[in-house]
Amino acid sequence: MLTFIIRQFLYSILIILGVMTVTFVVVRILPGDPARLMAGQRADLQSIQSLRRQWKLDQPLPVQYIDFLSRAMTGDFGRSFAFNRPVVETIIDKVPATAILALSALTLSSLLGIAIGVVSAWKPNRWFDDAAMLTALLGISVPSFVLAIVLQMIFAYWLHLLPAVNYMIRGGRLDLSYLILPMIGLAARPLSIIARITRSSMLDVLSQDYVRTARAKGLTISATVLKHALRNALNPVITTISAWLAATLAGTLFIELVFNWPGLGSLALNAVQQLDFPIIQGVVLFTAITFVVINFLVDILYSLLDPKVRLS
Amino acid sequence: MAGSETDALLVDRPESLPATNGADAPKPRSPWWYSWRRLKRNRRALVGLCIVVLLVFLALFADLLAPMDPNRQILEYVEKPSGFKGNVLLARSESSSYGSEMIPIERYRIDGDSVRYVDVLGRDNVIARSALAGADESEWHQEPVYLLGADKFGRDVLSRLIEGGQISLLVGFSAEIIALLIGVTLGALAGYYRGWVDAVVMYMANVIWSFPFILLVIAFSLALGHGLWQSFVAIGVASWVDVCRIVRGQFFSLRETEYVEATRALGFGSVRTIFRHMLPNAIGPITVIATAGFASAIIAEASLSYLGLGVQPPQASWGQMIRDGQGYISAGKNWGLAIYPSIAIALAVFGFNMLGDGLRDAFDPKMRT
Repeated sequence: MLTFIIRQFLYSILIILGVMTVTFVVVRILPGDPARLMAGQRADLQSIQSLRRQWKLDQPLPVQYIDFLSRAMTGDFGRSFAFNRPVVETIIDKVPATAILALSALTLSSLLGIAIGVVSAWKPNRWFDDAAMLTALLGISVPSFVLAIVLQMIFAYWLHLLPAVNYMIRGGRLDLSYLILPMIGLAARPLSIIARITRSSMLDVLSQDYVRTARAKGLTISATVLKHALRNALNPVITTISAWLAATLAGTLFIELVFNWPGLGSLALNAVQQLDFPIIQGVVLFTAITFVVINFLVDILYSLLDPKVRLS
Repeated sequence: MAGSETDALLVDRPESLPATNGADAPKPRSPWWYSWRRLKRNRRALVGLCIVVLLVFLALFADLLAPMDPNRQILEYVEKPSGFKGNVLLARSESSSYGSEMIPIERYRIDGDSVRYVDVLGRDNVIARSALAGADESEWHQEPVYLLGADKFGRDVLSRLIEGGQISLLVGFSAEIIALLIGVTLGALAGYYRGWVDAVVMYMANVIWSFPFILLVIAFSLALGHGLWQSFVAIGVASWVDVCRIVRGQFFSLRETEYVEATRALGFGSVRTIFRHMLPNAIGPITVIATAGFASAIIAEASLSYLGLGVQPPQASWGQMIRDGQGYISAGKNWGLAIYPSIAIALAVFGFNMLGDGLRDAFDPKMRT
């Protein structure tokens, strides 16, 4: 057990190293001179050059890479060009807003998705199943920003039921109605995928011999059998949900843009417009590393539940 | 084994052995035949197929099908609603790249050698017939219909939708080709040689897989710059992992089959085995993942152009049209400018996804019908 954990941990570290390398390379290819961007529009040549020396931008790439890694070890991921604050600080400021959105969306999509998937699998190819799966397919096919705009248009601008934009804490008061539309916009895709996977997984489990025998005998499936089926069926579903945890973080990109939600997504998009490389790098690393960590934890969880995983 | 082909190495054919007295033997059917039959019976898949075929048709013949030039601006017709019928005279113009200039009018009257017309501001004007583009009245007088309205520059929305569809399909197709080239190669190598080759390929795949897809696409797009080919390279290079996983999985199981053992026994080289014998059997799942990948590439292209990266104006792109049309919604008018491209994207991706689902069910060996 311990060897498994250590092995997974070391592999995860290796992946994180790979992630940092890829991020480093891609950010260095981005057009634009970081020293000039840091110094600002009206800086003179001397300050630009001193900045260049300070951030080792005049050194060859391998040296910059080692510098990047060693700084990262100490938690220094650079300073934002636009805000002139450490990247880590800026990102941590914005995480709560995104986390609220992402976690609520994921909870909604998991619970509703599993419920829909189970009911669909229970009576396959009947009207509920057909309707649900068609809607799920539509849910996967509509890009998140399109859905966000349509939701905004219908519920905010036409029906005036919910607010169109902005964050839910206004002037010290919490107003959850601001959370509803962004949450639905973000939850639609994971919900659709979770519903589909739950359905197919449940169908697989329900076609097992013991279930088929019981049904053939005309017995109603007992609650215990149903519970067992669900437990077995949930394995791929949990994998999907954990994969979507980090994907939802990225999905907030467009949702936050459309609904003017001040989180990581807005931060990242503004950084893209302003060529604020340290922030771009920081957000990309944050999402990727979160994903690796979540995967690691889920792997450990699985190994606890299923001994076969440990021994493979 | 009378009657069976010696080429049994090529494709697995469980039903291919006819009885020795050929009279009432069942006709040998390949798995492809069964898959196609399953696909034809799947109504949703057929709808998807129709949508995809329609899109491809539109993309190929976009220039012929668009009622107007997608980039032709008539500023007097800015933001006109759906179904608006314009009334223009075409005058010869050297300065315009079209060779002609469109003059919106209320009404006109032919007066000998010249044409008197009232323009949209109600002023009287005269223009010589020699200054008009064309000798015949039908040539210099047109009544263009803006079936879906006009955008903020007076361009026909329907024509721009069609051109946008061409771009979306082009990007989707090219990105998928790139993803397939990288993914199939790496997946085949990993699945066939296993060992350290597999470890290296899987490591690279896991690293790329750790990044959220859209962030990766945006980052690559920033690095490569704006533009058409930059879009599909960015999307393709971000997408190869899915393909690689599928191909690798297929090759893992295919390598253990008897006919592959036979190729080794016969001394076939690895490359020949991979390409002529193993890949054709993996084509089913590859097609499924490629269709799904095409769908996600269309979404990725729309997302990129929505953010202002990717394809640049004046080239039309659905995502860009949505971005331009978004502001009208809060103003309460012309919501079609954002909604029509939204419907287009949803329909296109929906079609590909339905087809992909249908293909997956059709190729599924567990569903033997």
